[in-house]
Amino acid sequence: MQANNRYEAERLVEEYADMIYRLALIRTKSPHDAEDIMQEVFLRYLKVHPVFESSEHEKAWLIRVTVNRANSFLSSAWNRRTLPFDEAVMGEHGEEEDGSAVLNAVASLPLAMRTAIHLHYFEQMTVKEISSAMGKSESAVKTLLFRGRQCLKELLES
Amino acid sequence: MTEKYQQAMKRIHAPAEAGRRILSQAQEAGRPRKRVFARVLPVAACLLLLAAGCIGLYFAETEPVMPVGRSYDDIYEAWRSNRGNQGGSILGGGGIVDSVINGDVFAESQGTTILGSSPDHYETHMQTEGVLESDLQKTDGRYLWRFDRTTLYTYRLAGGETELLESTEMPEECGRLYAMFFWEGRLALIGTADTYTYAYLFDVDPASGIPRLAETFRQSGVYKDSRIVNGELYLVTNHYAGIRRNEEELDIEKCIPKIAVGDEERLLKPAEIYLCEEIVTSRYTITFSVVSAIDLEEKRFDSTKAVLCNSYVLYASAESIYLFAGGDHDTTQIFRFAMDREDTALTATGEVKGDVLNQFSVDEHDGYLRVATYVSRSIYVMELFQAIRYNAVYVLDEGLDVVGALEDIQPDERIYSARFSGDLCYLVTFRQTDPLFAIDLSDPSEPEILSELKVTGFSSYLYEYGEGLLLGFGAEGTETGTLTGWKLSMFDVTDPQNVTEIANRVISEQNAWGATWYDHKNLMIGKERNLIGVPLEGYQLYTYDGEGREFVLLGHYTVNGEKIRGTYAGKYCYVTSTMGLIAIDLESYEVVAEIDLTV
Repeated sequence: MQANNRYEAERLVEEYADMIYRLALIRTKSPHDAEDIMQEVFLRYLKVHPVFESSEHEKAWLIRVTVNRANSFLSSAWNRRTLPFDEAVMGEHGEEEDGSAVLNAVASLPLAMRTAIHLHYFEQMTVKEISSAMGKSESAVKTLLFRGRQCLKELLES
Repeated sequence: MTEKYQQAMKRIHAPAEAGRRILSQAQEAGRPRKRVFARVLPVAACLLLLAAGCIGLYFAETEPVMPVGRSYDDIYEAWRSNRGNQGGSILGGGGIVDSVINGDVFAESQGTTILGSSPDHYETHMQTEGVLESDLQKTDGRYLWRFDRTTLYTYRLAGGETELLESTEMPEECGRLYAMFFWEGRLALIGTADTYTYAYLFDVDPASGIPRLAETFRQSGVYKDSRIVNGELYLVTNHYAGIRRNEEELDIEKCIPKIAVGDEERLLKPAEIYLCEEIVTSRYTITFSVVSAIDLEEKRFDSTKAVLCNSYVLYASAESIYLFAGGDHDTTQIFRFAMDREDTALTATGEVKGDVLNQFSVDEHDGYLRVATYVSRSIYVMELFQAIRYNAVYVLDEGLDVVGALEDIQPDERIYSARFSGDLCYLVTFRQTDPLFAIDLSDPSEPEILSELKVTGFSSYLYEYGEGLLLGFGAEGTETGTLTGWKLSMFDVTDPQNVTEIANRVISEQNAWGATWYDHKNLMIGKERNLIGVPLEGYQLYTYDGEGREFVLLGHYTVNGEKIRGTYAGKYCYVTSTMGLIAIDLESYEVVAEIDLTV
């Protein structure tokens, strides 16, 4: 294992902790799992010590690893809890009237759909970047986004 | 709807405890740190505190732009009281000021014309005249130096007789090299290892071209950027000082940035550290941007200052260094330091909405700072919500207050390149097609779009190529925005109200997401020689035929290895990579020498 750079660790946490946590959270719907995933992603980075040409590359790599890591958590029993997403999250993160409906709606979408929605509308990634991160074709991503928007519209209007 | 999602998501943060756990785990697994200072420090710290206290009092009377520390605890307090602020207030006023600017205030455009390249050999492009920029290879016409990782290669340039003279290994503590300068017979190499950035100063023997290490400078932090002006190296690093719990004491030795020449090291004094009391600072760790002026002649640090921020872009004008640091997703904070060997003081701060793409999105001209940013937002339109991007150009005065703004440029797209030229700004945005905007900045309070040219693909780098010509390098695409390869473009900008594309040539059909995208220094653009070198599918040499209005391919060369860079000196073009060098005769365009480092 390569020697760890204390700076690298601090910089990573500084720049990416929130991004990774939020993505892991929307995928697993569990703050506990999201924390574990964040830990794993960072330690993986420090162990592998990839070299990036730019911060965009680095961000893309981290997102890809986070998406993959979250997969192994999804089959756990924790995921089958019945507690609504927003309560599970908001309980830890404070009261929020308005946002809880949207969060719940996004969280209730199928996994790939809500991942694509999050990466596009929150992380501002392009279809091409999302397809690379999720390992899906661009047309598949476009479909996910399109259907996702429709589902959300229906959910939020009801 | 997406706005609500964004707002809701923004309130969710990774638990700080998890972050701390990661760092302690990483630390345990890492190299054992040197403990040399452990015993010496407490005494030294007390003395320093005393000295700092006195100096702090002195500085307090001169009313700096931002308060400086009077003690190390000040710094900790400033960070702690500020941590987690979302969206700081704009210092020094801000907002858009309705002021009328007289037209005759504006002197002749100094702009960003490039005069650095002598006809004899190629020089790394200087955004600001006279302000040297780093590169991974440098030449003085007779020798070429190039670094890879931790090795410095010296070649003697002689066309077909070119040879490798020496491979110099960097000192053991050096981590990875990031930057190099050549100036008046000296090489400066900059690299980061562990918690320090090293600047190695080499004297180059004029007779042999061999570099000899003369001095080593060290500064806390990871390398951010640098410039050389008049023999002074301005070095900027980002120093991450570690997570501190609320209750813990400040660990001065670990947190406060240090500088060293050779073995002589010292901590920055509190008075050398600016306290950002109202600006968003980092959430998890105390982060400093450290700006030093290093005298390469006298081999010493002339001045060092630090500010609590995490800078991501640097722009240097002839007199100032501007650091751009992220606020949230929404704003960018600007810190201006004087490029002054006596005192690299913070002279102004400001704030704009959006993110700054790179150094070419910024330009100082005639006392005004112009900044192009891109802003992201979502709106619900026609029963669907869409990610909307729009772009802006802000004009700030000498106090870095916004005096003019043009917002909402091309909604639904994002900036891919920008180039300022006197009173004009050329801006490229892209989603499906690429409008190239020409924006008039002659009235700082009213930036105005003069023209908009739609072409397929987009330019990721714009370069002024001569009388009324603007060169673009970037990706080609279809009408619907699918990227199909790389191209060179030439635009006629003699009439900014009617910009036209006069030539374009697809030079590669490879996937348009490569190294060249991100680093403009990959391109060799020799305006004086009308020579353009692009490291795609090996190396390609082009020239621009003004009469025929086309790019002409001069040669296409196979090059093994990575980080391919071209340069020219005399009658030859030299292309280097991690595996070696080739020399190309610029009359026959044939390869006349090949050096393979792997044998």
